[in-house]
Amino acid sequence: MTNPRDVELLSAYIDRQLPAAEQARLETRLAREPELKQTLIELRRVQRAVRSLPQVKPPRSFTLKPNQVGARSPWPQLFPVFRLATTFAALALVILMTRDLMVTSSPTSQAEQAAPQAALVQETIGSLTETPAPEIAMLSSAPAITESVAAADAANKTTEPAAGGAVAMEPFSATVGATGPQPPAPVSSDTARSAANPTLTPSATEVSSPTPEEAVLDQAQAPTANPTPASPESGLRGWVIGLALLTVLLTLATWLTRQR
Amino acid sequence: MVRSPSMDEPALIREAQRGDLDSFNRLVLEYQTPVYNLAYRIMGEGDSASDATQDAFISAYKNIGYYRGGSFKAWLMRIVTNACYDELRRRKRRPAASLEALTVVNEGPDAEAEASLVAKDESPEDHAQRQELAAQIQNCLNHLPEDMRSVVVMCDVLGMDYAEIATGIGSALGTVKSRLSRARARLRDCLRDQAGELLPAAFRLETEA
Repeated sequence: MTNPRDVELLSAYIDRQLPAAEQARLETRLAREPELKQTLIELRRVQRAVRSLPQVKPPRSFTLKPNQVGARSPWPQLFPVFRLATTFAALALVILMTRDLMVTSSPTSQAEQAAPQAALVQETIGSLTETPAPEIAMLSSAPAITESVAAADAANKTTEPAAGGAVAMEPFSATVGATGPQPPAPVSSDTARSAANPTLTPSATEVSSPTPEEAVLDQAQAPTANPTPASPESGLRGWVIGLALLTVLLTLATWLTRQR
Repeated sequence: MVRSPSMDEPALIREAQRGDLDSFNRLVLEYQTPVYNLAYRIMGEGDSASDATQDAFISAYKNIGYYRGGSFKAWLMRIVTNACYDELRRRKRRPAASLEALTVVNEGPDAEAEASLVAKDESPEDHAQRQELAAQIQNCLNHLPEDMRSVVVMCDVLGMDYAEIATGIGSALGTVKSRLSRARARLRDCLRDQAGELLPAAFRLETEA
């Protein structure tokens, strides 16, 4: 009867897991001890018998489903985020649309909104006291054109002295005529302010005699010397359109994430 | 086991650790055959092996964050071995319902599953003898203590080396050697007593050089 220690050596030997020196010693013993060799034969037989067991085919696939492991798709996790974003976007859209409606339907509010623009024009012109008279006249030439698109074109032309200078001279002459003789250049800042903003001084209003709508338009178009041509309403409308598109996209994303 | 060439196991494991179930399921498809075979040989029958395999993969997915490298196959084998031990312990607490399953001889659907992998050029007599022999070997495996059973199956059925087996059972290399030798000695005695005449000539009369 082979002792357990020798069985362990023989078992490791058939798996080629013995160190070289230990393997050599065992092989020497195997050549001398028939009982040890018989045990080796039996262990090899057992190993071959177990290895002869056929591989069993799994009866089904063991892939996991989300409900088995409590895993959730990342999409439903995005649902509350999209829902909140949609709510905020819709709220902002309503506020902007309301404001847009108020601006377009109320001339008073338009004027109020435009007042800061007029102040800006005053400051701009004030800083241009050393500016030659024709250029100031060019700034005041905007009220003479009533349609906004034409005004924008005219304003653009004012940046081209050769083309716009002759057209702009006429209102300037009227201004000079109404306010009495004044040195042609440089123009005082008061005169420049009067010419640029007719609603602020009665004399300027008399000179250009614009309708209230034209006055508003004048104020709106006055900063045309400034390189930003967009009016406040068009800017607001752009925001409304952009926000509406964003709201639609977010609503779609919310719906999709909920479906998943 | 031949690994599919397109499989990037470390990448799949990383994705699975981030919670990607699809990546984990690719690993399942890769390893489900050895995992099921280990469970089948430890449990001795198909239904319990299926349950243990499914439990093992669920547990592996939930604990894959604790996997710290090394042989992923050995890590999986450890999980399925523990799942099998849990099931066997449950059976011991309810012996009336499971006594038959512990000593079952392969018949019915399980035998059919094995038969599907038998070589086509095998004669019906050889096939029947092979089936009977497999049933006897499995019966002897079933009579081994659980810790010995898992080691001998990992080594001789799944072809894992000692280091992988040590990881698979969570023990030292010396423990693997010791359990394996004792398991083989017990199997020798069992096969001599129960299946001696069934053993083919190659198993019975072989003489070593």
